[in-house]
Amino acid sequence: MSEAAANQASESYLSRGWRLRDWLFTTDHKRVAWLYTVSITAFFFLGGLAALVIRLELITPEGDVVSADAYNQLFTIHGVVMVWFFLIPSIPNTLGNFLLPLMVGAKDLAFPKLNIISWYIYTIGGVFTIAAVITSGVDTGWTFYTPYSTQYADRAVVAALTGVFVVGFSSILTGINFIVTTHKMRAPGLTWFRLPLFVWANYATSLVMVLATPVLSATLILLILERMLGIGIFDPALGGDPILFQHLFWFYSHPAVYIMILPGMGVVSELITCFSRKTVFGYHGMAISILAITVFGFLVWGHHMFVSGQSLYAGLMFSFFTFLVALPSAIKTFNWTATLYKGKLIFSAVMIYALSFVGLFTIGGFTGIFLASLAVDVHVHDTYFVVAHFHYIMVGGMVTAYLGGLHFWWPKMTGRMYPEIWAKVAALALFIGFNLTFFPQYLMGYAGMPRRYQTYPEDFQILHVMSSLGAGVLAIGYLLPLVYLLWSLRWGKRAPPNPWRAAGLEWRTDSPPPKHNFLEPQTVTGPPYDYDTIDNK
Amino acid sequence: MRDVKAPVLAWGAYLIVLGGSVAATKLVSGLMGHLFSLLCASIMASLILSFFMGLRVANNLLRVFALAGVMWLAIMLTLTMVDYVMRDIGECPNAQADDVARNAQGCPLDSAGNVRASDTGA
Amino acid sequence: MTTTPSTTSKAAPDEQFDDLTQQRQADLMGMWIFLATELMLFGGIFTAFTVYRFAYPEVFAEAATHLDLKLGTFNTALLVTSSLFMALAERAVNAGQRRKTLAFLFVTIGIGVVFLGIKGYEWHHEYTEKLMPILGLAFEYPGAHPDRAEMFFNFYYVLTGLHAVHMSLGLVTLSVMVVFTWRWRDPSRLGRQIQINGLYWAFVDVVWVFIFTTQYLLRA
Ligand SMILES: [Cu+2]
Repeated sequence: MSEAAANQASESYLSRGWRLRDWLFTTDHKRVAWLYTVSITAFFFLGGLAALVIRLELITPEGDVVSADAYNQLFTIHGVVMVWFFLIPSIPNTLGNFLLPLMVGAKDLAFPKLNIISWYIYTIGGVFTIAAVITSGVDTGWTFYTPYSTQYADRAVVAALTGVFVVGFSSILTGINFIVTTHKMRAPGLTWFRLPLFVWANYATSLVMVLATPVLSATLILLILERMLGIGIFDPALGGDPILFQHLFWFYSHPAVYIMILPGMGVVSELITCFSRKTVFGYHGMAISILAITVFGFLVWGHHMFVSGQSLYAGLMFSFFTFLVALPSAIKTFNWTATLYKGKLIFSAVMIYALSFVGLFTIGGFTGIFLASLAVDVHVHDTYFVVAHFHYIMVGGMVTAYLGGLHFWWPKMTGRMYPEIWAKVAALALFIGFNLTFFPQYLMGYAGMPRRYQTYPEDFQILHVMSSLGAGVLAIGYLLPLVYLLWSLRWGKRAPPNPWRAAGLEWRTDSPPPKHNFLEPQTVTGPPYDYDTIDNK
Repeated sequence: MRDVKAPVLAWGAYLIVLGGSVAATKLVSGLMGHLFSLLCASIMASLILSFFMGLRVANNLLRVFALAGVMWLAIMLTLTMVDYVMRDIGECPNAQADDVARNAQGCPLDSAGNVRASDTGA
Repeated sequence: MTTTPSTTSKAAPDEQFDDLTQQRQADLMGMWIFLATELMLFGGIFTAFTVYRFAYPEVFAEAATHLDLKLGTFNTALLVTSSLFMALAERAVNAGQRRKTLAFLFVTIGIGVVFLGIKGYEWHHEYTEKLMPILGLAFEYPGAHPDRAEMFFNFYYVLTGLHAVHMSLGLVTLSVMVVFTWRWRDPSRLGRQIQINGLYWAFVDVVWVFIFTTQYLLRA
């Protein structure tokens, strides 16, 4: 190889190619990861803005900031954007896209062109939906329940459905890409039980994406056809059953919860083991739990329908399976705790995020067991208790893990260190703000405050004000990283290849990595997370 | 061109099974005929999968993926049907299998003797 | 490794792969997973159909008799024949026979077009019989329970329509394959592409088997 070519090969993926088309037509998984990061960040702040207006409205019992109609549209925007355009793609398409090939020692994903196409599909679908929702308004909530969505809601329902349908394809393409990459492109010696748990988690997530997303697509097609062509599959006048929509919808959307949380679990496993300087406790159990959650996750969807009119016997069955999912989730939580036990803990910002995740996920998971119980669910269904529960999983779990992971791998992705002190402040603001926002919602939900209402009895005002205050603190926890991470791109300290002394193939290459990730082919000779050896070197 | 005989034979077999399936709907009415037709459909699908799509010679991993697809479809179908086997969506959307009392339209009554709200057509 | 002879560069894998075997396996696996997603897509609609087929067995069985069994059966036979020729085209391209590959591809496409034509004729026939409850068209069903029969026809149009969309996409990609075969630039690559297309084409046939059986054959 000539010297010039060798130099070019060792250059970082960021050093060359800063024309617009070098980014928009790239097939480098690391650059696509950045494209996704920019898109999801934009969507996240848009969805967050909607939430902020909602919290502002709820400071007083009367409806005074926005009209009732606008309120309905706001929670729809918040739900649609956060679920479909942020939570689902967040970790897999940013960190996963960047890290999966690095962690398995590959040069790229198996299908780099599909990867960039998936970003286009995602962004175009997302922008289209947002445009439709903002210009004409949709008030169905993110779930599009029939018969409201098919027979009563007017305006841009079809446009919103089409956008979500289109974005589904980006999930499917990502899923296919990740599965094939994990199966076929692992470095020599990297057996399945030597894979980092982050790879396991993304692999399992991809399985869910591939098996569940098409059912959502089919369901949305049926909704669109019912609205546009009058082909009424869920129309009661033809003997149709609107509850059938919920079956099909939740067949996707419950497993989608695992699309959102499994990658977070993967991230946190990496963070905790690194900052405890200990190997993951019960690695095999962790990997198998991930698969168990994937499979069980498909058997429980009816727990969203306990009070819908679904048969009681079906309810019993779904309740039972839901309790079963708690098992592998608990195994994971116990194993994280056991990993911490007697570890040499380092309370860096990343670790604060990781520990927040474990605590908040545990509370969210615990209250999930309340909701899985048939009788209790009748009492708390459609109240703020449910809202608090899934925000503990989605924000307390997923978003915390995402931010933790973003900090942890930031040096790898950018070649720069972020300011640790500010990161600690942001992590703590997130933890405090989050709990202040959502813990009161458990209380008011249990006391009977229904979700999706613009006005409420005065008794709930104290709790609502606390929650809105918390939302303000939470906003700081989100805005701070945006500022100092961007700052670090230019002024941050240069990062060495492995600033955390972490295990894993991605730390063996430069920060940021060269275009083809590694200068020499990698081989793996030992188990993952071998921190004893690393620290005794 | 090697291995032409196998797909041609599979094609012939498919047509025979298709004929059998269509004949069954004409000759055997009712559930047995329907079950036979569905059985024929599975055979026809297997013929295509094995001989035209190469599953016969594919590696095990691909077979596992094909099987997983079928398994997941089975999960969706079975668990959904658990609900519909237990209630009658025909006349009364919220009817449950253990309902005992019924009103004049044949819709079940709850324990207080009221028709369930969603069964009144409202 | 200063200059690479052009003959070997043709057989080289894409840059992310180590060798051609790896690439071929990856392509195949990706396609099979994609087909699993297609299965779940149609599966969702079949699940909904099963629910109603179970709830209204008599009406659905009666409604099915209003479909044209002869044309449906003929179409089923046609489609499997087209799959056969696709499988033959795959074998021809692997044997390096350009003319045969082209011929088989043309037959495959031709039969596919005839299939869609017959399907369109059936739809038209049902339209003239006022059995097409789409876009507010009149639905005048002679049997009992016209509302539930309408539900049957809803499924019939959704399933056959979605299938026709898949067929049309398949015809487009097959036409691209015809162009590639015509040029015959990189036969081993072409072999992989035709194999992937063949998988899709055959899978569309598998779906049709179940559409045909559930819509046409489960009759009174
Ligand atoms: Cu759920």
